[in-house]
Amino acid sequence: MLKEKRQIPGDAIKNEQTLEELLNNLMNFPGWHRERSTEWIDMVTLGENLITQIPHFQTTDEDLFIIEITGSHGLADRPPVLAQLVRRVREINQQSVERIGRPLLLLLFS
Amino acid sequence: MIRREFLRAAGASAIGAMALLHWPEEQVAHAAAENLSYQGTDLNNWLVAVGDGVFAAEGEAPVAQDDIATLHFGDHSELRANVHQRGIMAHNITYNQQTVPDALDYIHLCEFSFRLPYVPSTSSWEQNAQTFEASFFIWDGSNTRLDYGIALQWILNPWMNSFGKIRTWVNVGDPAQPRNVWKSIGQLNVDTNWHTIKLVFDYQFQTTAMAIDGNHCLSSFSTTPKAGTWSGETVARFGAEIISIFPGSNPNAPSHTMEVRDWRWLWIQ
Repeated sequence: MLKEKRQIPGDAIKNEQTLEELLNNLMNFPGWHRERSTEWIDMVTLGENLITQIPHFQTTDEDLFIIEITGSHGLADRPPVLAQLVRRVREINQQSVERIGRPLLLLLFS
Repeated sequence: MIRREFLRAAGASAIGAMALLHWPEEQVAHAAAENLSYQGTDLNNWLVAVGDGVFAAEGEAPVAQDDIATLHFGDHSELRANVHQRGIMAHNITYNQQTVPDALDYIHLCEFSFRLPYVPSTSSWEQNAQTFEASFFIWDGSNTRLDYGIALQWILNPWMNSFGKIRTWVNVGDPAQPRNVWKSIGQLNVDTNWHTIKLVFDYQFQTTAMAIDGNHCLSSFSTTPKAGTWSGETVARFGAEIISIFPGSNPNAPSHTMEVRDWRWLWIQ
């Protein structure tokens, strides 16, 4: 399994809006976590995809993207932000389960 | 022990696979004298075909021969894919093909150098990439009707976790009905340096070897079924391949270029 860690500093998440901006910039693919999520999933899972599958790219690799929230000790005290984060990750994973049969994102608090 | 027997014995182990990569100069000279050696500085006279790693965004015409090109400059060639920067992913296979009935009786030693003229990145629009590939296959059209070979894939899509990963083509699943997949075997930093690839293929011992920049890599003897329309002849192919980046729903997408030079293909009997 190929794992890549992308970090968001916990103290940079001021509110739901800054969380959206931080997520949006995380994969260098604007809109990846919202309006362009299907396109992003297809892009990073060529060959695995059950819907737009291209046989030439069949692989044993299973890419997993880790989103690490560093310095996350204060996040538990901000339920709206935490709920928004969980909601976004869950939406992407639900979509990737539908398209490739497994989740793509792993949320890590450190 | 004659050289062929040594190569076969050596190929039976992982250490032996490394030995396969050390080509004795007297054997090279012999192959050349027997007219079983092909080489060049560029890929002039190689064939160019659209491969199966293709995709067209909604509303885009399917990928066609016009979407790929291979240009020759004397000291190197340039493989190009998605030359019109359409909303497609184009697959350029540039290959040298020899139709020889007893091609499976030889050990095949293949090599060339390759270079990216740019570094793919998430901020690059004019040029970006999905893969580079090198391959050697023999289509046994007159007997088993299977394609035997060895292949390498270098992942160049900068949005993928596997950016820079090297993969090799393997069989998995039921040996009677194997599936073909790419398996990661290492990493090659994505840069604009010249790199070398060596492929060794021995059908008789079902053995392969591969080296990048002189470093031995894991490789696999693979068996691939093909469409019933493939010919009834025995055809050996040595190829370089590129695939342009997946376009998503974009009506325009970057093109991809790879330079190749100094190729050699020896047949050892």
